[in-house]
Amino acid sequence: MARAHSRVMLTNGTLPSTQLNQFSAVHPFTQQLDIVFPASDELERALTSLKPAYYKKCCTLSDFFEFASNSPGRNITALPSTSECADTWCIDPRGVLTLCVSKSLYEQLGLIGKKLPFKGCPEQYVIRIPVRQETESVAVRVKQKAALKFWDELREEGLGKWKVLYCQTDVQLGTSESDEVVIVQPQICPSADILIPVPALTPIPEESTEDWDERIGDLFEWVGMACLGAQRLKANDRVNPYVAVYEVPAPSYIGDVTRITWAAFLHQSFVKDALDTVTSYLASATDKQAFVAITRQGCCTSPVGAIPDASFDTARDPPLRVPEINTEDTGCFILGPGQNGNFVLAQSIGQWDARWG
Amino acid sequence: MSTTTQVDPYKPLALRTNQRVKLSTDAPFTPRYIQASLTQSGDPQGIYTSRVKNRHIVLETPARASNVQKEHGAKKGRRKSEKEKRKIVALGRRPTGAKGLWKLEDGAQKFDLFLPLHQLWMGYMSELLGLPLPSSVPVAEAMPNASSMHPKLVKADFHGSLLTVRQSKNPCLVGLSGIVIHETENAFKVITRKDQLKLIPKQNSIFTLTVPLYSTLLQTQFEPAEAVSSALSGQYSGTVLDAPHIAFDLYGNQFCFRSADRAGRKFKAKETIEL
Repeated sequence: MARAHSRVMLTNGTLPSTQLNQFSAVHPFTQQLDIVFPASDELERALTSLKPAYYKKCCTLSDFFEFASNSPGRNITALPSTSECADTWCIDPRGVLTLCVSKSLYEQLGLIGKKLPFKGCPEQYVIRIPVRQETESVAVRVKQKAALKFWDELREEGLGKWKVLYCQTDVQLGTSESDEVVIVQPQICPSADILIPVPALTPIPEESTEDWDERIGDLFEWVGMACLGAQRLKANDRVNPYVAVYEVPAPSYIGDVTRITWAAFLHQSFVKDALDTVTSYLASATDKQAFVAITRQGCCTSPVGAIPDASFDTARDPPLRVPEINTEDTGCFILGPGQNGNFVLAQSIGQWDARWG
Repeated sequence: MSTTTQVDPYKPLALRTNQRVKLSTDAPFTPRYIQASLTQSGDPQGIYTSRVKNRHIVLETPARASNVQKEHGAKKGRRKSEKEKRKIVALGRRPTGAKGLWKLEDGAQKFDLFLPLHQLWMGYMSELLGLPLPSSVPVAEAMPNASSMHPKLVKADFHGSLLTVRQSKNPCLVGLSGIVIHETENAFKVITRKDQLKLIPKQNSIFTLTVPLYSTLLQTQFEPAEAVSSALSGQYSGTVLDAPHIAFDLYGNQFCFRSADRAGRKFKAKETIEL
C-alpha cells in the first residue's frame, strides 16, 4: 500500500518484500547510511563486521572512461567528489556514463543529449554514453572520446583533474589496482536511558488516513531525532517549554539505543548486506518490541538518482533529475520483528526529480 | 406621331410570322420627328441641320465607372507594374536551382580541388590585413593588433576561407570544418575534408575563422595574375591550419547578411552574444 504526499511517499507492507530486496539496486549512489536500534550486541557485532570500501583516483574524465571501458565484466559505479553541480557526471552500475552539463558546455561538446524539463532550475542537458566499447559504432565512439577530451582541456586551466570515487563489483580489494583504497569506518554512538517508542507499523482498522499519517510521522520524527542524538529523547530531559516541547510517541519505554553511521561513498552491495543483516536479525528476534530504523541518504550531486527498472535495461533511461547540493533524496525504513515482520518505508525527493512523474 | 390619337406602344406588332420590321434609311425617323416637333420656328430643317445634325447632345449625366470597375482597373495597373519590376530583380531559389547556377558537378565535389581557391583567399587576406612576411618577424612578436583587423574582416569576402563550427545549438554541427564555397544570407556552403558538401546555417552557431599569421604572397608577386598562376600550380598544398595562424570567433547570429551587403553595412554592438 502506498500513499503519495507532495514529494514524500509512504509505503508499508510485510517481509519478504520485493521493494526491500530491490531497494539497494534501485538507488546506486548512497552517501550516508544510519542504522538506529534498541541496543543489541549481536546486531552491533554483525553490522560492524561489514567493511565497505571504495577507491579514489585523480585523473581526467577521458582517462577514467578508458579505464572503465577496459575493465570487462566488472560493473563500475563512479562519481566525482565535487560540490559543483553545474557540469558533473556519474557512471551507474548499468555501465552508462551520464553527463549533466550546462547550456554553454553542451553547445561546445557536440554530443546529442536531452534538456532537463524542470522549471525554475538553470538550463542543463543530460548526455548518456554507454561505457562498453561494443555498443557504439567506431565513428560515434571517436566523437564521444573527442568530446570528453575537449572537456578535460577546458578544465585544465581551471578546476584541473577530477577526484573520482568508484566501486567495483566482483573484485577483491587491493589486488591489482594502484589507486588508493579507503575502508569506511562506522561511527558507533550508544545512548543510554532513551525513551524508545513501541512502533505499530500497520494501520489500525478504524484509523483514518490523517491519524495514520500523524502516527507514522511522529515515529519517523523520533527516528530522525535518534539519528541526530537529540537530547529531547533522554528520559530525564526537563527542558524549558519555551525552548522545546516534544513528546515521544506512546507507548514508550526507557532503554538504550545504538546508532551506527557510515558516511562515505557507499556501494549498493554494502547497503544490501546491511539490509540483509538487519532482516535476518529481526527474523530471529524474540523481543516483540524490537525494531530497526535504517536511513539512507543519496548522493545529491549525481545526475542519476534512482533506476526504477532494476533489470538494468540500458534501453530505458532512468528518470531525470537536477543535481543540486541541497536536494532531498532520502529513504527511511522502519522494520519490525518476526519472520514476516511489518515495515514502513518513507521516501522523500526534491522538486526537480522526475522519479515519480 | 400626333398627340390626339393614343398609341399603345406595348401592343404586339401586327405581323405575320417570319416577317421583319424593315427600317429604311432613306427617311430616318429621328430627323423627321425633330423637324416635326419644331413647330415654333419658321425653318425647322435649317435649325435641324445647323444645330442638331452630327452634334453630340448629352441627354443626362454620363455613366461614370462604378467602384468595382475602378478597383479592377487599379488592380490591373498594379499587376502590370509588378510584372515589369519582376523582370529586373535577382533570381530566386527555384530558377537558380533549375538553372544549376550553384550546383557542383558530380566529379567536382573534392576538397583538393578547392585548395587553390583557399590559397587565393589566403593571399587576399594577406593583402587586406597587411600581414608581415614569414622571415621578417619571429612568431612571438608577429601577432598584429586584432582590433585593427576586425573592421576589415567584417567587410571581407569569405569565399575560400576555412571555417570550423566551434559552438552550436545543434550538437550535430559542432566540429564541422571546411572550405567555404558559397556564402548566402543565412548559410555557409562548405566542402569538408571528406569531400562532403555541407550547408551550415549561420543562426545559432559560433564559427572559428582562421587567418594566416604571415603573408602567403611571395615577395615578387605584385601582379594578381602571378598570384593566381602560383596558386593553381599548387605551390603550397596545405591549408591555413598548417602554418602559424590567428583564430577569430565569428558569431553567426550577428552575421546573417549577404556578403555583398556586408561591405557597406555598419555593424552595431549588440547586448548579448549568447546563442
